[in-house]
Amino acid sequence: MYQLHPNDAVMGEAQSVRRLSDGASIPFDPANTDYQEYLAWLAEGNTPLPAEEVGQ
Amino acid sequence: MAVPYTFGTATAAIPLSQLDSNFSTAVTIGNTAVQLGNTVTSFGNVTLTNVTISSGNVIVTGANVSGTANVSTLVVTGSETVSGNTAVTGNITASFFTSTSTFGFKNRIINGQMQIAQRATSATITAASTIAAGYSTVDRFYVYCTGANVTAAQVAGSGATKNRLQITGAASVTAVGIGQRIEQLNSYDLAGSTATLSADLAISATLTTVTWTASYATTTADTFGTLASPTVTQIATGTFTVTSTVTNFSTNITIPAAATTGIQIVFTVGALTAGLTWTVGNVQLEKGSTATSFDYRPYGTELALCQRYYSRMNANTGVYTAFGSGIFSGATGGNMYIKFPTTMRSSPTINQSNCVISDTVTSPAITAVSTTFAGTDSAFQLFTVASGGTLYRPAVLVANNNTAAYIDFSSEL
Repeated sequence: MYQLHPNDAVMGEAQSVRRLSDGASIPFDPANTDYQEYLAWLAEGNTPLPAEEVGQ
Repeated sequence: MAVPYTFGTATAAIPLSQLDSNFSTAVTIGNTAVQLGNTVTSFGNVTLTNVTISSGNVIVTGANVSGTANVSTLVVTGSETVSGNTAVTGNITASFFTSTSTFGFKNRIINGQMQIAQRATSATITAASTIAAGYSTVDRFYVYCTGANVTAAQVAGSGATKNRLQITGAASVTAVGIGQRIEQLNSYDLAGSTATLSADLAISATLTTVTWTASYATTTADTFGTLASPTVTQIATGTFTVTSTVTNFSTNITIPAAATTGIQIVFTVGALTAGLTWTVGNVQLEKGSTATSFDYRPYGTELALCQRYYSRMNANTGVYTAFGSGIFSGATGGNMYIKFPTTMRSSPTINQSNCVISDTVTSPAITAVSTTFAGTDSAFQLFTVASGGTLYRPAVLVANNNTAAYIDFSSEL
């Protein structure tokens, strides 16, 4: 399972997704195998959880 | 003693008094060409000086040097081929060496000795999980299993081998695999050649077969797919018949010319049930058709090789060890610059444990990590906290008064 990251007020749109099993941040890099697994997971028809609401 | 040919071409008389009956005293043949007839088949106790063999072959059959053979100067100007083994106890000086298997850094497997274990020295491997989850003990090797969970642990080796990887089975386990994916950049030159795979293997009882399989990424470099959906082309497979005694096994692998996209080596066993252990060590893949001795590399070198794929910055003895610095981007988060220990294979997956971001006034605990910008050398990382940050206030990423704190980076294959 994965969850989208919230956008950052300073730096803008999130460039990664959170892996819920361990909380790791997976960058959107096609060479990153964790990202490849995430894409395969999406291709199976799964949907990540939406980003949490974050106050600033 | 018969004299085969008796100076028939002598140009002057030779007094027989100069010869005794059996040449028992030294005979000097003058500075002139001497031809010996074919009937002379052997000499004993001969000392030769300035010998030139101008043509033909020199065949030495069964020559034993039991004492000390001193060759003060041996010059080989052409090619010299020794088809057997040669043992040299002294030093060899040469201007250039060539070898089909090379000398140092011949092993394409990283951490083949199982000595580096940045993540943990022991871990439970969950059945039917992912390769990412299988990277849990010794660096660069992933472990997977089916049927039931197993335990993977770095254990003590023997002799010159400091460590090995040991899998402990459990009831209902149906299969276990140990694999390593070799990056394209470290295996490209193996394509179209013969390589040799070797490993120390043992299984405590019952099971006797370890299957090895070599594959390469089918279409995209360094993309091997998942356990469920591998994207590899098999190069070769075979088996080793193992016992409970750790033994080194080897096999040749003909690497096809198409295997320029990265190579995967996997060892598998069947039902590693309760009470069984499977030990693997000194895994080596080298160019050439001969299994040579294991390539022991310096610890720091091997660690650096591992860190390209996974690295962990630990607090160790410093309970407030700093890992990065940056600014609060609001009450609930801060962006931190983090420099990786070495250039990584890809933008890494990043995680942390027991860290806080601190402006020295407040030090809120991190509740989530997300990547703002990440390259292969550094990252600008957003760390989310529950509250307590002050916008634009400088902050540092530090251990939360905990020697077990760490931040890690993974770009495993």
